[in-house]
Amino acid sequence: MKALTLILAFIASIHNSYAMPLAGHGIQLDIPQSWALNSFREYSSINDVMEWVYKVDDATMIVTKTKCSHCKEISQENADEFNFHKEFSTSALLINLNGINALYTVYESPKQVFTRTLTINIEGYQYGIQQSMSTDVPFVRASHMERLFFSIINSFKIND
Amino acid sequence: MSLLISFSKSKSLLTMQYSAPGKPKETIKMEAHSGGWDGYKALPVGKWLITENPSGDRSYFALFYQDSQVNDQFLDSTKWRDGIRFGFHTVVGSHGCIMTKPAVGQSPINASQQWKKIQKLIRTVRARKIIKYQNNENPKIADNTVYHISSFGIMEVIN
Repeated sequence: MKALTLILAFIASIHNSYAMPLAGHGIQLDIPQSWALNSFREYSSINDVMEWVYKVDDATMIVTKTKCSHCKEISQENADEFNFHKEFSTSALLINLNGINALYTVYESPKQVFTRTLTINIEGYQYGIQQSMSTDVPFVRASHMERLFFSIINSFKIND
Repeated sequence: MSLLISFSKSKSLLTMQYSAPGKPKETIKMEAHSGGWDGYKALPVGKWLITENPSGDRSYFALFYQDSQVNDQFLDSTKWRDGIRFGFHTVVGSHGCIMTKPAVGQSPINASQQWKKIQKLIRTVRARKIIKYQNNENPKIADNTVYHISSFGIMEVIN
């Protein structure tokens, strides 16, 4: 019985360590359990960044929280920077998510990877939610992933 | 003139230091990523030879690992990897390629200009050297063709 309790406690601790990181940093995001947290790291590049990488067999989702005291609310100008410069292979759309402007971008890399990203600036941080997958994925799977991504970004909230 | 290029995996940071006689030393820093997509790890630490891209996007470079055989393939622990490139895009992550990107709060146009400057310095500061190589290291996709390609010196990948 004691061994069983220990095993259950161990399983619970694993579950918590995987489920808690985002919430522990004030991010509410409904990510399906089928997406495994592959890595978490903090780094100081140009900015201080926290990065969570989730994966399933054929796709990767990267969530970032980046300190950016000078970042203003997203505007049409941010979308135009991508849309008017073909060299970025990126198309952007200004959207409104729960009353706050956000940028939805799609990018196709020369190495046949399709990436969709939501970017939103809130109170000195930029949050990024990015889903990447091969362009070889069948249409049925790709459209499912697109719907899933919309569902995930719709669940995005910052806890006070 | 001298040019030092390094990529820090732990910081996700590319640093380029350029110096020319009579001019102040110039440092360019860009956020950059290696790995993260589909479970791919970052490149191993070590020295990587920068060459023109053997195929595909001409604004990218290739990176050849300085192991016993310098070519477009390398053994990473027990796994064969190949086709490592050095370039610019607008998103986070890669399959191992070192990809610079706009930092948060940085205009993509400004970041793209930085990347163009990096390309220009790589192609103009160091002496261009033509190397011969064969992609015959990985027994499963061995190609004995002898290729010639322009190379531009070393990038160091550090932790």
